[in-house]
Amino acid sequence: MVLGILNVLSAVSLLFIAAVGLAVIFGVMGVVNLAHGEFIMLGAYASVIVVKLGLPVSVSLIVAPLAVGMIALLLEPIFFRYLYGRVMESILATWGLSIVLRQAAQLIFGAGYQSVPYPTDATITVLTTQISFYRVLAIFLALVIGLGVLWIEKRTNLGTTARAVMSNAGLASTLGVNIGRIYAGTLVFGAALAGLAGAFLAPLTSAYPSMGLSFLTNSFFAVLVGGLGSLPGLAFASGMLGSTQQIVAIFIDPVWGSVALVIVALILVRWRGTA
Amino acid sequence: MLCVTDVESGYGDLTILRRISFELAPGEVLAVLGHNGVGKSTLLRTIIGQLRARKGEISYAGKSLLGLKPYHIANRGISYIPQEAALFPDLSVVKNLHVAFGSRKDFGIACDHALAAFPFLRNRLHQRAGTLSGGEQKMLLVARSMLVSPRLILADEVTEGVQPMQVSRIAEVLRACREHDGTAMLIVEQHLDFALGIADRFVLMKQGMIVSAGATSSRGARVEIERQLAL
Amino acid sequence: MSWPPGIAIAHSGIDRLRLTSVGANCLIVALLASAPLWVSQYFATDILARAMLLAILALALDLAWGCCGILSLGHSAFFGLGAYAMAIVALRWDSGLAPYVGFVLAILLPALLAAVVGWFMFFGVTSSLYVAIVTLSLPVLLSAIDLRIPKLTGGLTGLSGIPSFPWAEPLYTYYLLLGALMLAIVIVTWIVRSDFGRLLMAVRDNEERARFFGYNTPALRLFIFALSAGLAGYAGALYAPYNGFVSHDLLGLVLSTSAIVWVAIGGRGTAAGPVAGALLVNILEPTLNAAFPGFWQLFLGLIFTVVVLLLPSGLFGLVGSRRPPRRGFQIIDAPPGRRTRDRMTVAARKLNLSFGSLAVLHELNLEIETGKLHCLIGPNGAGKSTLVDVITGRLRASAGDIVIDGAQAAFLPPNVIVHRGVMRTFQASNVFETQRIGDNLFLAACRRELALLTQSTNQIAMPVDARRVLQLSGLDRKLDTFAGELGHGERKWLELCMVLTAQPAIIILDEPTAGLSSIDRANVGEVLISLVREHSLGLLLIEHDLDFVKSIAERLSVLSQGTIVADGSVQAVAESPVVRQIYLGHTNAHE
Repeated sequence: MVLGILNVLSAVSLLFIAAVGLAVIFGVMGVVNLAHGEFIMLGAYASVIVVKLGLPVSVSLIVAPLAVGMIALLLEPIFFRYLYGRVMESILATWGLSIVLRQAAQLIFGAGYQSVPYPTDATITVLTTQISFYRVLAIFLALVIGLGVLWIEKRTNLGTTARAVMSNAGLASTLGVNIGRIYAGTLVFGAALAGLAGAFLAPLTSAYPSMGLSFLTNSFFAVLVGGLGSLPGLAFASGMLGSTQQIVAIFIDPVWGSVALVIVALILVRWRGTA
Repeated sequence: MLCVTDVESGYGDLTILRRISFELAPGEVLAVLGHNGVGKSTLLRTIIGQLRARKGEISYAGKSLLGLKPYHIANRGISYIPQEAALFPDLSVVKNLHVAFGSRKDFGIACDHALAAFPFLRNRLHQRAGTLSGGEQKMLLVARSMLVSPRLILADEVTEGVQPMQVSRIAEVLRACREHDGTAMLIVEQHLDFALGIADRFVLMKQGMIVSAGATSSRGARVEIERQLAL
Repeated sequence: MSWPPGIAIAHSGIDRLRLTSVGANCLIVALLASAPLWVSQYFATDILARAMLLAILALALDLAWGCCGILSLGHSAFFGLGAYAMAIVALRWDSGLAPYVGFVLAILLPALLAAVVGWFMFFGVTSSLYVAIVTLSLPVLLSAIDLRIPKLTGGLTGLSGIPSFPWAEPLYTYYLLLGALMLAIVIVTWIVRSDFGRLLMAVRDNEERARFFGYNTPALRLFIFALSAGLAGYAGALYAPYNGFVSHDLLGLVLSTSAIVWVAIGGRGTAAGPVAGALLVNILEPTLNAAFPGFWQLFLGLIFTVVVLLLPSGLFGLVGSRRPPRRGFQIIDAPPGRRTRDRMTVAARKLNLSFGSLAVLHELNLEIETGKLHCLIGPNGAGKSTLVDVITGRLRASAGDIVIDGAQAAFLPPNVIVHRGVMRTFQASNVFETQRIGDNLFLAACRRELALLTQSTNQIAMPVDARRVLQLSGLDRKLDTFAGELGHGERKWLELCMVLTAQPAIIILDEPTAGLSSIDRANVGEVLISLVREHSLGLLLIEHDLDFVKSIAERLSVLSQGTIVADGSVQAVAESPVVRQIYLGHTNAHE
């Protein structure tokens, strides 16, 4: 029972961690980034490289966000800059980017799974059941990230400026806010969060070139259900979708769990639309 | 200080401003008058860079403003108060002020100075800006403008929906700004008393063009303006 | 007053597009038909045949994407579903009927899946992103389910040994598949060329305007989506016996991604582009993939990204003109008695609406009647356009009622409100810019949507008042011009014509004279007065120009800060202090 609850919370947390980078980018800039899954994938491969270099795997939790953030920074002036405010183009163009990144990863790392060791194999015992500490750690990481982003949003000047840009970019510009810089910064931040997610998820799923796809749709569903620009909404959506998936997975099957997630997402969005 | 020459501007294939020309000296206040829809707001939006001037030239302190992004223009010391959607309604009053203040130093001191003009705002600092009344919002906008000690203020209908007592307060504050800091202003207004009370000169627009101009102090000014507006 | 019937018949010459789209397809088919003469049999039956089947998939995708704007990122799910359906029936059921039943199922099952998914996607609040994500998840889910029921589907290894066609000669198969491709091309071309195709283009480019002319756009998109899924299933149904085995990756994202790439590179929205793109890529792929393993896919991804950003009409956009052919429009009399109502009232009662913490409408009451010219004025930002949005179903009020002719209308979608007899124009005149003026009028006049599938007409049925305005504006001489090329004033006239063509009882006009010259303004004023006096329309004009209002209105209401502050005859209200305060701004000397 306790194991079940912790598993559900862990699944919800993992979904949240994967989706938060997307939510930040989408919320502030309105850019649809279909290459979000690939940013996660790059973070996972960063872990692989860290391990290959002989460093402890927990270092990847710092290296991955930096690396992926840097990649986003490089891509901003040559690619993302042309997409601000253009929804259909950004869907297609970032889909193209995701194809390119996937193929590049396949060429560089090979198509197979590359496993990444857990930073810790510890287990904790709760009421006579043993649970992997790492999975429980996911819950804490989700809380830290969620509260951290919320703190930035509500308590820092940067957060206030970002919220202003999200609310009315034109007005912010006339007040002297360099919205180009805000957009670029948000992109890098969101990408770094995705990279962090990838590094954290790598031991659980192993790194493989098309891993991004399995996170992409779920992340988007979480963001769409949770509502644009709302971190609490994302938390709620992760809760609803993640727990549905996990519960169905436990009682029936992981595959039907994924199906259930999509069905619940469809229902929630449809009903919210008519409310 | 601000030099507008033969400016033409509009939205899409619609031309609103046709050959607008005027000048503004440092520390001068110019009132832009006219009915709804003649292009007063369009003029301000073109100066601040939200709209692209199709023809003509706009120069400020000797340098051209054409093609610059609004934030570049704003950071040269021009403060724009739009008529609509001028605040971030879901942010608190103090956060709205923060956004305009940006990364300058000493927010506290500047804030004190601005709030001294509108003391009631001290009690509303953490209230969401959208919950203020219409008049209070306009006063917040003026305070926000003063916060950055601008060289030029572009004010669009800053007294719209404001009670007469609050209107006089705003007029006092703007006059003080002009006297102490030498701020120039371009005031778009429908409220004639207010506009003529603080402006040195006026221009009157009709259908995108300036049809009449003069000094507000001249005797026949008021009569002439009312005549033109009533036509 | 008799107005000569407006007749405009332009002869349809050889338009460049006729030569390029239909012509290109003929060229492609001819090349394919003669191919066995000049390529090896292996090449024809292995590579070309497979490419032809995938070209049908591309066509199906383009029907949804290019023609209707539904970005289906996972269309191969339908193809794979069709292939598996055919394979499973053929393998499990020992009967002469098996292939036929399999074929039918292979078309119906994907269509059904698409209909169910579409019901979630297109109704309610929707966006291209939502559609993209939902359709993206289909291959992912179907793939996963496929692995979960290996007894039925063969799991990772797939199903093999599917009985092939009842002949031994492989060239017969080749020509059968070519015939299948031709059939698909004919179907898609027919739809695109029919009047239904014109409607789809309008929905794709300006869905909102289509809804406000009474079209049930979510239902239309559902229909096309299901149709395109069925077409993809049809291709899958042929693939199974052709290939002999179906494998897991038919359901996967790789095939879907590829399909999007073929359509984008070839040129979406044209009947020939997707075919050309699919054929080109699939013919080149085996050789290029062998020569540069791994890099080919990367290269394709880069080309796709570049095409999307810089060359949105694809290769076909470079080659041919994308304009639909000229029709030679002919205007005829509308049959009498089509107007929905002669006497009608629309009443807004105690409307309240807030955007977040901003109260836009507050306890608002207003009534509009037929036979009256009613104006609504008020300062900027007072809520006038928002009020119109609420009345016409574009926004929902948080409290209050809209009553149209005694019946509740607060929760109705815009197209239903149009059917009740209430129409509107938009402040920035909203017409179908990618269509010709004649097409715009046709779409406004039309009533029954599905009937459009069977016709391709050049006649536009317009009532007398609409024809008169058409003539007055000079647009009757410009029926072939594209609406996007019109100037500001002409666009306003067109929108007014279109609304009149649809024969509503009450029209709400949002700033009809903004930006018009004084001559046009006077003409519009005359037209509006005669519409009310002679044809008993009810008009509500949102206006700024007080002089214009004083010259034509009978009734005047003033909206300020979200509520009606004055309402009555135009003489009484126009002279009232409220209006003077709002419009002339100056307080009287001593106040």
